[in-house]
Amino acid sequence: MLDAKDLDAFTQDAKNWFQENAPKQTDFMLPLTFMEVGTDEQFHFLRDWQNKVYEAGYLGAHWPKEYGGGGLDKAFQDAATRAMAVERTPIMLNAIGLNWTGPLLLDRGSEAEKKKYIRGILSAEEIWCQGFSEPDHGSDLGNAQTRAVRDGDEYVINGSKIWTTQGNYADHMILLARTNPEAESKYKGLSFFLAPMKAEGIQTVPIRKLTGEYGFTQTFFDDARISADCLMGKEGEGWLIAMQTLEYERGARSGQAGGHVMMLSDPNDIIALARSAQLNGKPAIEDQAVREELVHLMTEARALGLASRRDKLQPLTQDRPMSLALGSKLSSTDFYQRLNAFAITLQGTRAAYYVGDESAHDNGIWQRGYLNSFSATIGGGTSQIQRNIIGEHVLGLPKS
Amino acid sequence: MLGAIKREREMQDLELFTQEVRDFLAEHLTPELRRAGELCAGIYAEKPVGIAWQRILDQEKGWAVPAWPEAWGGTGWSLEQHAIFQREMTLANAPVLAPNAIGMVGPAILAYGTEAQKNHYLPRIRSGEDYWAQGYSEPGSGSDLASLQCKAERDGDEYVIHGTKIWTTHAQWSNKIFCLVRTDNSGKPQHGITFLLFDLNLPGIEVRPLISISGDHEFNQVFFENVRVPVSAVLGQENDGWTVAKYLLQHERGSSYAPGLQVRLQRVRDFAASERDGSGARLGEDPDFCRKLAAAEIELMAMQAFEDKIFSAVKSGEPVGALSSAVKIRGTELRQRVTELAVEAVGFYGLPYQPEARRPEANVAPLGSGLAATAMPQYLNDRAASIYAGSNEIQRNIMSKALLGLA
Repeated sequence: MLDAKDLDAFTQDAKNWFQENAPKQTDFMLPLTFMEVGTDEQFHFLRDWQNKVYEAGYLGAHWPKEYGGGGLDKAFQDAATRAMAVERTPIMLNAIGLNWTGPLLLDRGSEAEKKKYIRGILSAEEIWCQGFSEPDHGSDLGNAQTRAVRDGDEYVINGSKIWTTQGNYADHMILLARTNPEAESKYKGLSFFLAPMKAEGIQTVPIRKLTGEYGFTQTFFDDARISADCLMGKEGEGWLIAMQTLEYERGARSGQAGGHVMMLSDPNDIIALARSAQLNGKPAIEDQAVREELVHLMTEARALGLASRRDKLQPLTQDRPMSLALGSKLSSTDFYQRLNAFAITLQGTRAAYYVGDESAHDNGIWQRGYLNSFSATIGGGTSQIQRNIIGEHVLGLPKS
Repeated sequence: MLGAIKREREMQDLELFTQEVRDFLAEHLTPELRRAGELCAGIYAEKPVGIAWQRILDQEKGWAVPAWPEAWGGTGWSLEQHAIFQREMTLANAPVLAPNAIGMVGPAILAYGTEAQKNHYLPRIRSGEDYWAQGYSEPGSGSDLASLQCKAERDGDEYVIHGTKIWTTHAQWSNKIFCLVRTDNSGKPQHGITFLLFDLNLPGIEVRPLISISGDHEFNQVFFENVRVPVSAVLGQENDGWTVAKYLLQHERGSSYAPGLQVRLQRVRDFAASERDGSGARLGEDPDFCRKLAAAEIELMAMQAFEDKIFSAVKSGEPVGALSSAVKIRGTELRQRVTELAVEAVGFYGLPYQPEARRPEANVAPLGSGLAATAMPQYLNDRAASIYAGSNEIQRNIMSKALLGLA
């Protein structure tokens, strides 16, 4: 039973702890999301931070104690997560582990798998990456071709995965590979592995984004051998398991460890930008048209926030269950694209400066955010795919 | 020196031509036809209106099929004259003629038809005696048209057609159909398609209405159950129908969007400047709305410049290629934006649902006039603009392959 007094005390402790312990300003830029961890400096800093948060009891507080969690009610972890958001603490590094692998193992992993992996996920001692997308198969993931051939008590992996976040730092990969090219349907030929990344035959190559950031890698498997124990579930179950992990990503299924893995542009920051940017010799915020647009953006931000809170209250979403959850990526990524675009407009010619230029507003973070906002509408399920999902699962339209 | 004089003569001739078109419109575009054009919220004018206008164009000036060869009724105009003619018609709110016959099957017959087919069909298209439906898309084959399944099996000197076509605009009014059918399943899909021309009132054909969300009846699904057409219905060669279809796609000079959208935006501006809302204020005096109108106007001006640039390219014989995709994407998205501004401008007038009042022959007047009656239906109908004629997603794929060299 959840005792409100306990929760209040915990919440206050969490607030205090984060206020005291959140790292101060660094002399290097921290990545805004787990996808841009590009330097060793950033990696070690964030790893230490996640470890500290975990040891203090504020990460995975609601995961089972026997695997390394806190064994508390989810409300406690939510309180800790909110405290982190308010203090705008650095992100949690081990996003794939915390939000995908962890919930997956807790839902359907074996006892051995849970004992082996959960603690390392929370403490950030073992970093996870995701091997789903391939150079030729992203939206059509069901056509994935990376091959896994059983050989005695090992599987031999050949092929390539791309957009592997933190691939160069990861210890493990959740890998979707094809074990049966002759299967009756392409989906039934796929299997799911909890694969080691630091094995012979596995090579990662960094990918540099348009924004100048690293973080993504391409992973090459060249006769890489992994233990047959790495197989999760049975051969042929890979697609089902992969779909389940995507539901965690979409927030359609809960169970994530807590904390934030992305620092989204705060709509309030754009008001600050409007005050500091100059338009016709005066602060841009004094311009009528600018104020109109800010009001539009603030209204929309508020609506998005309220929708996400409403989605957590089941009685308020009876008429179209899942519509808010399934629509949120589409609406929020579109919103952030427009928010960042307006930030560019506000800066006028100063928007030509970029991260690293002394004269850039806010270190050029809006320009970088604007460029990244395009990948946000592609990665994690393109906006076109999101519309298909809404059309099929919310509106009941025929399959595309 | 000589070049400059020549250009000036050309300009004067074009000015005279422009005046000729305007004079014709002033005299023959009746208030009823103009009103019918205004009340139309669909892609093009309904048949009774369209054919009435086409007949006037044909009988008064011989201008029904201007782009055809002169031997078949074309005008022999220069590219500029064609552009001026289209622009003046748009600015005058003349009914938009359905392109199926004049713009599609007509040119197809001109390019691939036998003498007998040309002699039979072309005059009837020009006079408006025949009204054509286009049988292309199927429920399972839209963006991927080559995958079409509607079958035509050879039986003696006939084909037996079995299958269905969908989104057949105005099939409810059509007496003819040009249809892509599958005559061979063995090789590549594109190599087993035949282009057929036949009557739409044959036994075994059923036309079922598809009522749009606006209440309008533009689209239909057509069902073919063992429909027999003579072998002479083939246009071009059997199994070579895809060639004809591709020719039509490339031949389409591409619509021009900017002039029509300028007219629509002006209508929005006029409405916003005169109508008062519930609090007595005019939307045309609201700075936020003015800003949106200004932003739309700027983009329309840019669109006009873009289309002018493409016109120049066409005129000097340069290939337009994938830029036509860019035009389609921009044009339809701007069209949708203007409909959104119109809905915002008309306010509560967007609520009444009265499709029957917008029909030209209606006895009931719509609530609110002009923009008030059409803003919402137009907005709803134009949701489809980014889907039909090659969805904007497909157009972006085309551009990324052709212009960006992406996979």
